[in-house]
Amino acid sequence: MKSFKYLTAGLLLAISTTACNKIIDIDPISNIGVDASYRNYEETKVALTGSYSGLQKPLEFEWMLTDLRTDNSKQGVANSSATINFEFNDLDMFTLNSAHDKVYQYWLTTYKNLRSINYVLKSLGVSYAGGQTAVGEGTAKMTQQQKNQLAGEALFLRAYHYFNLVRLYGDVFLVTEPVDPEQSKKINRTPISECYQLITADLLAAKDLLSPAPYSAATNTEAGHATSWAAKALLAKVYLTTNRASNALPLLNDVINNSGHGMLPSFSDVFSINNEMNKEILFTVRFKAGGFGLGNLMGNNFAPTSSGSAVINGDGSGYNYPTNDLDLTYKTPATGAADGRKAVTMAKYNSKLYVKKFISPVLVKFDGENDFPILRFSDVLLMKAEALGFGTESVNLINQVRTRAGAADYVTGDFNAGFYKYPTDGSANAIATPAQFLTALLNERRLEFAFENQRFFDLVRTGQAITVIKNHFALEFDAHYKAYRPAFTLADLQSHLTTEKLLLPIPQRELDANDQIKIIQNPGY
Amino acid sequence: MNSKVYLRGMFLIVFSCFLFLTPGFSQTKVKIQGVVKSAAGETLPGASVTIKDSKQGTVTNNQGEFTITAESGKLLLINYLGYESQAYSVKGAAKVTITLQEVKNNMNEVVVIGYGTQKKSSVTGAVSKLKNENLDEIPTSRLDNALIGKIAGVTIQNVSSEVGADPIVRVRGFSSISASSQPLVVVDGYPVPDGLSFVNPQDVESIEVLKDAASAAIYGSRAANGVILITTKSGVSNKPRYSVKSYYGFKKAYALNPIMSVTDYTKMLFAEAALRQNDPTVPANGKNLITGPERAAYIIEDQISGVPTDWQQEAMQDASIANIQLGISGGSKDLKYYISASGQKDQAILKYSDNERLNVKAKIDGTLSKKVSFSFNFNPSYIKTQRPAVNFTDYFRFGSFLPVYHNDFTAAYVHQNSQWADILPGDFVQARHFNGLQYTGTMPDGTLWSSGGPVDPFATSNNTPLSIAARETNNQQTYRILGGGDVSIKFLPNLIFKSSVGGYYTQQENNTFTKSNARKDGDVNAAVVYTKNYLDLLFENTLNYNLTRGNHNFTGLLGFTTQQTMIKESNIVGRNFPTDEFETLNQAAQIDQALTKTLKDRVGLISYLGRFTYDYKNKYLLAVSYRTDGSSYFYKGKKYGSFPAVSAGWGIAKEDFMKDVTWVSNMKLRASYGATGNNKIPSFSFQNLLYPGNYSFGNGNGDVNLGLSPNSDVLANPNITWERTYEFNAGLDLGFMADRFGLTLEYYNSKTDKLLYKRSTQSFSGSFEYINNSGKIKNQGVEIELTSNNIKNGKFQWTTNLNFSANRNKLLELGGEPFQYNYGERSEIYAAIVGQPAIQFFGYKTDGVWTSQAQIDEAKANGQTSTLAKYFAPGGLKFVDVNGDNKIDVDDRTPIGTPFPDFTWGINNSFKYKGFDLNILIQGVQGVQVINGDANYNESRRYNENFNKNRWISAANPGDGKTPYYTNGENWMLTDYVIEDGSYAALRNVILGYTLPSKFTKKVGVKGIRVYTSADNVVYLMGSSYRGINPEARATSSQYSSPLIDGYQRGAFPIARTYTFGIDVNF
Repeated sequence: MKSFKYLTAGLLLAISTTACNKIIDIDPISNIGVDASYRNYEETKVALTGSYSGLQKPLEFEWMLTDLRTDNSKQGVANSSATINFEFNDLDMFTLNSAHDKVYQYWLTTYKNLRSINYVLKSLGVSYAGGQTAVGEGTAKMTQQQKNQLAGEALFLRAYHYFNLVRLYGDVFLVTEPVDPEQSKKINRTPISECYQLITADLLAAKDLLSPAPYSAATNTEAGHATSWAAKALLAKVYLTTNRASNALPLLNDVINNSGHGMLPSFSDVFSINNEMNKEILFTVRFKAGGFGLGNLMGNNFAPTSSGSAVINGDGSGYNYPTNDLDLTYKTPATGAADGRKAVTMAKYNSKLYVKKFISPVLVKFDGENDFPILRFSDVLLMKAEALGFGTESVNLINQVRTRAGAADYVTGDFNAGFYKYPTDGSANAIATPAQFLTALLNERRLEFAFENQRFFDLVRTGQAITVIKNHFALEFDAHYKAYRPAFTLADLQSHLTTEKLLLPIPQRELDANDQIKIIQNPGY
Repeated sequence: MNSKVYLRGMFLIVFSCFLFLTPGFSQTKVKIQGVVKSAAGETLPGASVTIKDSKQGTVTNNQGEFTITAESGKLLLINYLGYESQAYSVKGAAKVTITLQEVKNNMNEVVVIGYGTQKKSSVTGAVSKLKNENLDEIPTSRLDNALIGKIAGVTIQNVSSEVGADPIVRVRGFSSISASSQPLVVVDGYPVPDGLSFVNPQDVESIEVLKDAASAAIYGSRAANGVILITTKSGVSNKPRYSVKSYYGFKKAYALNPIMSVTDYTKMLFAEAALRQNDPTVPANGKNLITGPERAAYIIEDQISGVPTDWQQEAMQDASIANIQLGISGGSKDLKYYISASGQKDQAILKYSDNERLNVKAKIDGTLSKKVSFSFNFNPSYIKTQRPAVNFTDYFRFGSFLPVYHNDFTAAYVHQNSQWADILPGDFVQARHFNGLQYTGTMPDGTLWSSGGPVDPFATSNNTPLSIAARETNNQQTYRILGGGDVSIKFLPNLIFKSSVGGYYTQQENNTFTKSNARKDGDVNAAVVYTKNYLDLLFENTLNYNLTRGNHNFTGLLGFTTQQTMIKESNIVGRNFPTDEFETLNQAAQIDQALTKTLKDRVGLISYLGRFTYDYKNKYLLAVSYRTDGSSYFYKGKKYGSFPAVSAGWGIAKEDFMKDVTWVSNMKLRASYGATGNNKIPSFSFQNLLYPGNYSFGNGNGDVNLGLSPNSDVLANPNITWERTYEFNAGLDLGFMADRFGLTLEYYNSKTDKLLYKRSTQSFSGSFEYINNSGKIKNQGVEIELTSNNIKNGKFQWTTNLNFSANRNKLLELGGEPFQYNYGERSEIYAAIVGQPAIQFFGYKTDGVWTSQAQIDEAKANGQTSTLAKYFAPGGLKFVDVNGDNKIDVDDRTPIGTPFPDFTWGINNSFKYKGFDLNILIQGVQGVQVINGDANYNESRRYNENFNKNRWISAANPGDGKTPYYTNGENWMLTDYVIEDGSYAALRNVILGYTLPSKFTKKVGVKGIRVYTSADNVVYLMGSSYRGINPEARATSSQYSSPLIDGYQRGAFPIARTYTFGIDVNF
């Protein structure tokens, strides 16, 4: 009996000492930790692909913060009771406050991707200090060429995100490596000029790190990755935005002359899902249909409500409702030359306008194929026109874009009745002053890039935002804003829009979360 | 709510406990003939009958009869083992029947504690015990719902009225702010994650709740939220007993939202417009705010469909509940068995919500030799739940002007639009059918109105809730097996080694099928198949020792346990099936790769435990325990936590100086201090993980490239470790007049430190939360349990049990930060502020509405400004300038309420008269606040009378000055306007039963028959500021699963009032 006792006790002890560690020392089965990745080219490339994937989510909200706040788009149903329409109204009418959910969602999803990008950059040994981006020794082992390629792409992505953030929110938080919660509480907002230093430094580095191979030489399977040309074009836009047109010009000339990119003969081909990654696309955020979770939501989001399957399978949400003014700005006379861009950009269902640019047939709702272009060749041409300023060469650049859209040579009659190229011969309808040039340029950009989230930035960059948007309120007032209950006057509506309100508020929870340093909100909120 | 009323009610009941009458006296000798029976009517042979203060006495014969001679005025004492003794006062010669009650509140009662049992008189911690008396007669699908209001310190809140849904169960309030505050549930020694959801109430012998840390510490690691021990019934050595029990009942909604029909609403709009017409301060364009769509909707209801639809009624079904239970138990001295089976079908009053349950239980206890005994337990169960596809909100938010189905007239009307040419009478009406048409008709003021062009009366593209519910089915099936066995070896008579092995396996299957066009026109049909396998293995070894030397009693316990859990989940989403009738995934044209996934997870726990108790004469009691746990939830070096506890008791009533105080039958003082832990966080939270983030590269449409990204919303932290709660508990047990009245008082004070919780972080770090171990929270509270046998005589008995608990929590520290804000779905804020309760609603304090522009102008003239764009609006809410800077902005936000109750209470009264028994449970929660999320919806604000009655119309007609106009001003959800009193008092349950006389039952050959009827939620009183229909409802999913966000309700489902009839037959 005694031996039995000891045997059991011994057994108990044996079990307890050996089995324990196996039971509690375990690793995840279905996931990998960050510490166990980013070790070599393959792993880092997979992580970079993850950063490209992260480009998609902010685009769900970007139109709300850009086109919706311009004369291109409005919230479509006055007095709608849907929460989302309340949110749209606040953006559309400049009545939002710092707790606005979509203003936060764009912020969060963008910074989430910046975190992913910064992990890649950190593993490649890329650092940013003193206004310079440098590539050093990282944890990931690979060849220099591989490293340059990955670092260049990641830097392009980082610059792209910060460029959007700084234009929308002003002074933002500049994070250039993964930060932990304790560190983040010590980071305050960085002045706009310093944000642009980072953006410029990243793009300068990216354009040199990335291969300068022209479009025609690009590898079939690599299409969609950021290229040196995309970096140059984006940098040119950054220069235009920061009043450095002279720096932009050589970059744009380089892209026009050497990139191998160019205009497609037909505007509709640019957006066709059968012609993705075409010659005109310098950079695009890619979407893919087919139940991969990579589909574009815009088709269903922008199709009209209650349209069933008439416009797109799975019905539409009626977001991003085009204004009547935009509809009328496209010259589409009954006879003669018409602007071919209108039919590609928008259409009507049950007498209601909707954005058509990103609609393609879907099997399942929200699973659209359409890529969303970020940089197109026509943008490069019009940026060059903007960089050059008023002059024959720049009017010709505008005309180059107009010609592709179907504009005819102007001979005689009412210039505004049809769709014509701008005369360059000094006739009455020719562009005669820098102001007229600016109007024509902005108009062209509006028509060419409608719903590509450019309009708001164009207006702010050129200082036209307040005038144009107030005018838009006046134009739409009777047909749309007057129907709101409780009623308000046009003057009320226009009074919401001040220069301060062109910047979005820093999301309130960002301010609330930090109790260590005082973060100053943008003025007006 | 008028709390005075309840207090008065409670006083009455407490007072009445002390009312009982003593009989008169006289001195003649008389002969008493009697028979002693049990409450069930069985005669009791061998019961002792003695005359008080004398040595005279007798014993009942085989028929339970006795004869005794005594003087008038003397007291006969009747005693029988296992029954409460009873006194009979002799008045004259008589033939009497003495009915003895089985022992209930006896101090020799045994209480189940962790890894063992203890006599109640030896318990030094705070342990509440509930013996199962009629839990299975309460008409519910779940055991936890049957426990509402029964145990002090345990709150159970029915947050959803879906049948089978998980209620919130809390022991001593809010003890942790980690991922979970749910108590640990242990079924027959087996810790299971969902024990309260599947245990058949009939099988329950008793429920013990280990409330203080010292009692719970033996379950160390997971015990910080309290431990609920469920002990199931075992067989007894007896002849086999058979029982059949069944009930059937039906349910009705207690209250619905006061939703106006479109006709009534439009009439109100016209009345408002008429008032504005005469108000000079209203600008011309504000005189008539009735829109075209509103007029068109009125025409549809008034002149096309003709009848308003009550969508709330459409959501309801005639619900029933049916239950049948069979039981067999018995056994010999060496082998005892208990076998039961039960089936239940429970429907909710909401359509497409029901729950079916099948339980089988087999338990065998055997003795193999003098040294070796074993027990074997096998408990499979099956639960099938149908869950509705739409929330109740979707029903009461839907305009009454849309009929459910088309009739000839409406079908013809929508045929005007060629798109709907195929619509037939009997088809579901959808809002879009009526869009884009012209409307002409008479308005409530008699004028003729014509839209002149196409109008959309209701601009939703969503289908009607009923058609969605009909076309989308969601079924969940859960198969469970809880089984195990143990062997006990008596090495010495007082040294027992027990080894047990158990397994708990569940397989859960969710099948969702969405037919074509289910939610919107053009929806593709889709099937979601989700499967979860959960396997948990437990291995326990304990050594129990006890020793009695004279007046010294020792017990010792040593143990080692391991628990391993493996979880497998898979999800498959298939779309585009050829028909809506065929659900096999093979037929899906597309498998959605983004949503199709498998996941494996595992969790491990190893523990060593020990307990030692000592008492002297059962008067001075001492217990110490220690447990150490290692968990896979934490990183190397952080895995182990230890949980010591010590407690002591003093049986004062046993002291000599209390000998003469005869009316005090029990007085015990207890004190304890101990540590418990909490690790309920997601696995592997100590490292940042990469998640899929694929992207398409390549010419044309490109090919999917696999990507990974650290894109979690929650940042990891390798330093996290056990959260620990240290709790002091003091208790006093009192018994008066031979325990006729019992009172237990508890006071506790706990501090939890190293709080594991998701803390807000700067979103620019890429995540908005990270998990951390910092901060301290304090809970203190009192609990009172009172048991009173108010009236107890042979014929009539009245027992009252009262419980009361109050808990206060305070956040002591938050990692050096003064506060944290957490956000709900409507950006409403839940603030955790150091030095204050852990959750407070946070926002603007309102002070009525701006009644006129003049009032606003005056404020502005006084220098008041606001950064809130829509703030200065007549008819909008007026905020209090809390910081007094004359500027209304975010700095004026302040705590405006808390979701924690002041106190909770329950009173259970049971009456017995002859064969009748009546049980009445009254229960309530006082001083709790809720955020009414329905106020966010325009439909509620428009059609719900609680939001539109007495509202502001114009400066001359400002309503009650408190109710804003629904579109004016700033968002209500950020203010105290949506904060309401969630207190309630409910006549929760009444059971009336009748046990047929044994004379009758014997004739039909059965041992006993009882019939009963029960009613749930007979009366339900709600707070006066409460605008909803179910104060207990809470949102608990997505962000509301965070323990720091609580108190939000939206789309609360009506409380069900249930009536049942049951019969219980024993053979």
